[in-house]
Amino acid sequence: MKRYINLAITALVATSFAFGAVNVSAASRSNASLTPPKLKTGVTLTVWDYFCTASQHTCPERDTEWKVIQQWAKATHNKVNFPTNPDSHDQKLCTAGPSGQGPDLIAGPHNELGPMVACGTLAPIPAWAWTPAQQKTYIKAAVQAVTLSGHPYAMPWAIETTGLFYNKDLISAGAFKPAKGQTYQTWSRLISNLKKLSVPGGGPPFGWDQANFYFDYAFISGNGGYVFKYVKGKGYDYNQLGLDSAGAVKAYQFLYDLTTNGKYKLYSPSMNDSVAAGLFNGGKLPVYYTGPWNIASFKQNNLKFGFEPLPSFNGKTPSRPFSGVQDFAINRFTKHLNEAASLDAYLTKNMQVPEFKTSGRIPVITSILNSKAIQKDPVEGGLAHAALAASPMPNIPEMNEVWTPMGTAIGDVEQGKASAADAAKAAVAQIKAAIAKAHGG
Amino acid sequence: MATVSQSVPMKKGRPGLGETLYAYGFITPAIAAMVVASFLPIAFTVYVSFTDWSLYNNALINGFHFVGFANFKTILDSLQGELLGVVIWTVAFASIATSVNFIVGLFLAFLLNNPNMPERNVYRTVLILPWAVPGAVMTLAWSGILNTDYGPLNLVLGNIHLGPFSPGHIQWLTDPNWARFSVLMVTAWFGYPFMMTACLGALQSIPTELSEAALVDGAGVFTRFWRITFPLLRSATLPLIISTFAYNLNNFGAVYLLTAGGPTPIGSNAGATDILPTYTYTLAYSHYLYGLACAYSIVIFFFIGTLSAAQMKWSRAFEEVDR
Repeated sequence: MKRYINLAITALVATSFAFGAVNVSAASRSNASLTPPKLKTGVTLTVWDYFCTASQHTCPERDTEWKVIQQWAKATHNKVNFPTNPDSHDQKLCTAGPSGQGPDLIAGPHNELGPMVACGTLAPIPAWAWTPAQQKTYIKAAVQAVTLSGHPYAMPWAIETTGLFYNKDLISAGAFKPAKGQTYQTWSRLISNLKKLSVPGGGPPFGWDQANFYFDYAFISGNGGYVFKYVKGKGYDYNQLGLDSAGAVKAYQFLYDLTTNGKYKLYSPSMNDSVAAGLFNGGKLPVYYTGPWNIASFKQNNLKFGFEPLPSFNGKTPSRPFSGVQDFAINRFTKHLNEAASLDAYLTKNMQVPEFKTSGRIPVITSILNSKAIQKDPVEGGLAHAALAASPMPNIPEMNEVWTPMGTAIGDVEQGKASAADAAKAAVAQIKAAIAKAHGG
Repeated sequence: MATVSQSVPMKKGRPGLGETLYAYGFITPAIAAMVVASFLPIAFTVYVSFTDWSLYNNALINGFHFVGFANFKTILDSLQGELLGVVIWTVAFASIATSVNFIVGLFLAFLLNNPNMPERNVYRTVLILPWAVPGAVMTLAWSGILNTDYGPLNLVLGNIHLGPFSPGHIQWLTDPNWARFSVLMVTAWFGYPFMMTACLGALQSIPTELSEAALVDGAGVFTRFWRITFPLLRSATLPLIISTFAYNLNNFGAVYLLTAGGPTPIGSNAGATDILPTYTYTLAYSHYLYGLACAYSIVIFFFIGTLSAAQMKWSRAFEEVDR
């Protein structure tokens, strides 16, 4: 008897090995013509998004999205399923998609497209859903962000970037005005204005998450550095890194000089995001370099805040921090590709103005972006301007290898543990080794 | 099939087939749950560790390949490099954290075991508090408290002036050695109430007549403690010490939430406070190397399992004792 039980358990264990080797393939359909096909009626689509976690009771952005979805559903006589968002939905799609458990549309920031395309779960947007003529009406950064290897894999609907939020009670807008004859404020002028401030409580005049590469990139791009070289028509080339060029090393040195160990002595090397957020929300920090996701908490703390784009390094070219583009992508394993593409096109085009009214998301269609409603609002108008100049994060999966080594290296430079040149060389070598290893090298 | 309509007499020897099947029927749901929730994932992990499954080599596009022991070879090679430091620090961290927890817990239990102190319940309640707070939230709060220039701890210490030396600028989380000290300090803060309660219970179960008899025979405080109290305490607390040691070898939260693996030297993947689980987590989730991460988890399992088994054998803590 015991022997049979043992055999049964062994068999169970053995079948589990078989699970890992099962491949599910699905037909991928593409449609090269520009005329929209006839849509089916009565189908049910599922949409995954990432607005709000399960613990948040009210979610105005989701409600707005739901209204637009309902309009499409009514017009095409279909139904749409809108479950509460799963965590790590991009990684879930890699496993859920092939097994048929995935959604038809998935929302996310554009840098998640790279890994999802690498695990083969996204369908290219059909040409009829987003024609080249329509693409021209979108801002260039948004189109570039969702394009991989020359094909668009998602449709964008909002763009966000980072910049300086300032407390109007502690610093005036005049501190950010450029000098006569220059188009943009420079860092040297802003720093001297910051040093003239008297901060209540003797705290620092400037705070941000200084060892986070997402924010550090603005300094690198301002000095002529880049992450991966962008080859027109092909996309980002992960073999060409621009993080150890002379301009990038100058940027790291500048970041060191901003701390109390360096020339400008604005804040200590142990400044990080939670310290800066705590000080700014408590009304003690004049300038906080962060993104628009914190606007809700600024309003909750009754702060009188304004927004200015980051200063430039030479006064002539604007600052180019990273921008994130929000998009909707189509699951390759959907059973209703044409309907999903139609919903994608409708949703992303018609969600832009309502979501701006709800939560201030910056639209990506140029004409809407330049409309009075957006340009009039001081904070949103500033964010829109900054977004136009920003450079989108590289959307290839190799970008994953960059964040940790660069964050660590820049953190070490800021704390004075390594020189800028050494840190740049070591970090780039580490990134190249990680990319080579990930490709089976 | 044996029917149970009348009382079944006690049979000597092996039970019949009917009874055996009946018994297995009862435990089938539990076994099914264990197979699905534990055994299948473990088996899948073992399978994946022999492949090169990663973000770039997965089933749909390139197809992941069976690579045999290549992942384990990578781990062995890394053992001569940064992995060795991580392993040494993991064992050191677990040993020191467990010893400090035990010593502090025992000392406090000793003080609280005083029947002549009526307010000892108040002290006990206050001292138990670190056990009562949610661990993850409190660890994140500690990382804020230990911030070098903006944390309250350094602000308070900065007011102490001992001649030219002022301890208000200790880099708790950014200097490698101080970061290790901070991780140990926070783990001790979280862990001593458990040891204190266990030792208190064990101390109270020791009959006082033994100590009084020793006192009559002229034994001092230390001799009484070392020869009488400690051996009796040993049998009760040794299993706890061993399980605390195994827990601290895997104490992902305490390390990751405080320092995320600690100050990392340039060009390395292993930080100063990285223990094996946090090192594996960084490798898997920063670089999407699933096959390698599965291989690492198997290695960690064997490492911790062997250590724990050796400890249990050596200390004879789990043997039956005839008293």
